[in-house]
Amino acid sequence: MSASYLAGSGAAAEASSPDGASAAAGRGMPRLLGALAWLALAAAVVVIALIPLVYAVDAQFYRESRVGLSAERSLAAARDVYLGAEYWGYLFSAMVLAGLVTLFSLIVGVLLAFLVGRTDLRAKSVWDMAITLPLYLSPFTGLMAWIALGSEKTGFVNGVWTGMMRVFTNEPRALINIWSYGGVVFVMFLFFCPFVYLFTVGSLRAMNGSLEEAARTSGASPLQTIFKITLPICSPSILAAGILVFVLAAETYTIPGIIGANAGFTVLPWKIFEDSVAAPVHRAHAAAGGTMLLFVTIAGVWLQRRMTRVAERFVTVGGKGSQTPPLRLGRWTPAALALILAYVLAADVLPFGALLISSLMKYSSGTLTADIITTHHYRTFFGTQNMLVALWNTVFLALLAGVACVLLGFVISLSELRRPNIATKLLAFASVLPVAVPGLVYGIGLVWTWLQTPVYGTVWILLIAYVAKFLPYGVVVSRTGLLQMHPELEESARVHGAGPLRTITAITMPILKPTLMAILFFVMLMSIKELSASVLLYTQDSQVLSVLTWHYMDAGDYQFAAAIGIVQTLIMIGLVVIVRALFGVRLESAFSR
Amino acid sequence: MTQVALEKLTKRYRPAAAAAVNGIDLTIDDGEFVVLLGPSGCGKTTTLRCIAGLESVSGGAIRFDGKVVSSAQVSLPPERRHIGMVFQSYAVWPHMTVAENVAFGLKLKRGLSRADIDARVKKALDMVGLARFGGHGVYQLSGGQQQRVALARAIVLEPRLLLFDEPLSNLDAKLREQMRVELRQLQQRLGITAIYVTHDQEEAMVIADRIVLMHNGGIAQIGTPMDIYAKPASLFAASFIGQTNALLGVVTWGHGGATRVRVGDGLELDSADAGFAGGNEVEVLCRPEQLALSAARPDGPNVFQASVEQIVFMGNSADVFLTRGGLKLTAQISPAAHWPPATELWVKIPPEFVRLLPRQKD
Repeated sequence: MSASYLAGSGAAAEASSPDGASAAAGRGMPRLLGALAWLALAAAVVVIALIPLVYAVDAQFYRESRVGLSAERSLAAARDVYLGAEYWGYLFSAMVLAGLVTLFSLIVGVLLAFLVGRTDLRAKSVWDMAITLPLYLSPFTGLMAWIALGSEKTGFVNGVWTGMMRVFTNEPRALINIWSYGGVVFVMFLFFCPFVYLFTVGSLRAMNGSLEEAARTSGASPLQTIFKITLPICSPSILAAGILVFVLAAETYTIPGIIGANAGFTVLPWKIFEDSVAAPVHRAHAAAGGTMLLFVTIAGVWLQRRMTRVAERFVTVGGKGSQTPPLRLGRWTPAALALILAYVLAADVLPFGALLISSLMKYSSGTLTADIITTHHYRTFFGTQNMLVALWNTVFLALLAGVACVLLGFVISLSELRRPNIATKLLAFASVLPVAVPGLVYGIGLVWTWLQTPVYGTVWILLIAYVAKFLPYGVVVSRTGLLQMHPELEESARVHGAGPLRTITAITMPILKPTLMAILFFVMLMSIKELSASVLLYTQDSQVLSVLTWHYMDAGDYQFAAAIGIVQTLIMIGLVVIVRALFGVRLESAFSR
Repeated sequence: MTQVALEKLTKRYRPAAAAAVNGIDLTIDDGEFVVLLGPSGCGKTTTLRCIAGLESVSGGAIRFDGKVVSSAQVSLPPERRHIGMVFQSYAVWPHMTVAENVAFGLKLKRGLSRADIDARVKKALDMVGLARFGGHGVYQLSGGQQQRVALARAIVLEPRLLLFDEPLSNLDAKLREQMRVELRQLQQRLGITAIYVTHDQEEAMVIADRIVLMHNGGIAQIGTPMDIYAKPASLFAASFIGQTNALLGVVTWGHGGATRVRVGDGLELDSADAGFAGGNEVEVLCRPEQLALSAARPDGPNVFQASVEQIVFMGNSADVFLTRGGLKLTAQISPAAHWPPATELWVKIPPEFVRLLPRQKD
């Protein structure tokens, strides 16, 4: 039996495996094509990600004209910005703001993470979802909602409050005023806090439970264990989150801009924006200011990467990972619940409710009466051609950007890991660079890169911006997924007859499907809410939902903006829900990479 | 079905670094089951991966039936070598069922009908004892079952060479003992040349036709399990395979078929090994099971007293740790017995089991 079993295969083997030398030569052609394809990919990434950056920085060295930049070089703008006090003042302002937002986000975020991650609180998964919900919403729509809630005369909260206070005095003062510095800090805090929460919860989960158990058996109480063991071990992650929040807050211009313009303070990103679009434009100043901002963000991202690497050293991989018994809250339970509910109320419920109600009102008012309700805004939205085009653009661009980031990110990471050499590593590095660049600066650079080309003023420039901005997620997340895959899974395919390409399509990609799906939907989500670059790049013919909300807020039509905001939010929530239900994919994992 | 020849095979991971595999020569015959055995870092896995085509070769050559498949200039890719390989981590693909895993390589071949593929998959699964598991997802299987899937997948292609990279090290002890016998039986039935890598010397002795003992990138000794066990050519071989008592000694006299050697504090032992002269420095080796222990003085050569330090009970045998003067010896007795510490016992070692090797200067 064994003879016949093997006789056939012996002959077949002789026939199909030529001498080694010719086999190697026969693979020359596909090799060349592969190299060319890779070169094309590299060129695409350089054009999309790097060239706009170069332009954005270079633009500061030109003389300004009434409508933009003239052709001659000048150091005037650079001198103004770097040597004068004005822009440094704005930078300082941005950093103070960012510092405050970071401080509050850290305190509340870590507290919430411990409450959900380490105590005997009930309904944890509900709180977890509720606390991370703001990540899926646009901070700008959050601002719109809080304007509806917290404006002095027309905000809902104030309306309810003064209604109650009329019992005591004749001239009740408003409770809150969102059009203030405090208002900006508050809204930004609501939307950045989930980052800290996510990083901390992730760190708590990755921690080996026996570290805490060892502390307990050495005599430490649960609270002591938290302060002496758990927190210190989590601190690199927490710090990394804090730095991330600081960088994101420092480069935000939309929220501090809209409020700051009315409340009398200016941050650097807003000044850059104004210099870019408000007449008279000062494009070179904008570029110089943008470069200033770039230093801060690059330094921040570099620091954050260092911290993340330290954090990874503290993670004990492998082992059965026992979980410590949760902390009993006892009489602290009501207080804990109150905190969580307060946050969820402020970040999820009130904004969504306010936005919804606002979108159904004819005009701003602190009190709700029957005659003020209308569906006019929605009817207008769905009845107007450009609105529907904007809706279509939003979804279409999101899908394209998502697919592009998945494919490009996967190929870049795959070539970096499977064929590590100077070229592939450089490409991976270049594609991740945009993460340190504020969307605003990118927008500026993109305008200059494509100004003279037919791409300018179309949706395609928006697509380029989205791909450049979100490709880093595609690269980093697929890299993590690839690293977690045992190389023997691919090797066994090779040994059993599959060539390199077949191995990728039959083995690598299917196994990575959850990761790739997560990237796709994550990028789609981020594209739908992207604002900072879109505002600089859109035109009448190439609008998306996010810039529409901006436009109408700027014009003072808060109710219509709210209606658009609701449509945008529903699309995003729908996406998250569908992805979780159909694919079981948890998008949060992409945030805390 | 294939003869494999390694000629001065060398592999260096970095140009300036020490070679992981340093110029080894080995011929494996058609249908033979050869085990590459050695401690971590000895180069056995690297050698196997070079044979599989998963690593490039820095120098020398690998030939299958005389044809070069790997050399410094040329490397036939793994998918063209017609080998089957079973990996340490099993590497069964989680997104496919058992049958799909096994059928993967068959589907890549041209000229096989659906019916052919199904039949061969069924036969392979039968051979490894997973007949009813074809439709299962692999995550539902235990470690041992996953290993069998990997095995079925390797043999279904009727390869000319089977490679095993420590396939049993992730299984628990009982399962390991059972699987290694099954693997050997399967290979004998199919008659495929097989190369197996392990650090477990017990496993090697059960499975191998010949053992290739490796150390620091080179081959320390090649032989059948019995040969290597009975006649280790070096201290390393003697201590890696089985247990050994190793003592330093000086030859008192040697002639014809016998040598007398003095160890430790003056104990003189007769050995049946020849070829040594008075004054030679030697390693004196004997296996623990060759020390006969008794309470009363036995007759014959190589009889001396030693006192019990400790006894370790192992079930069907016991390790007895003895001391005499400055010497420490381990004896193994089966069935197990027990003496209290400090008991004086008589030890007897037959001269044919006192092995001598020239003293190796490190």
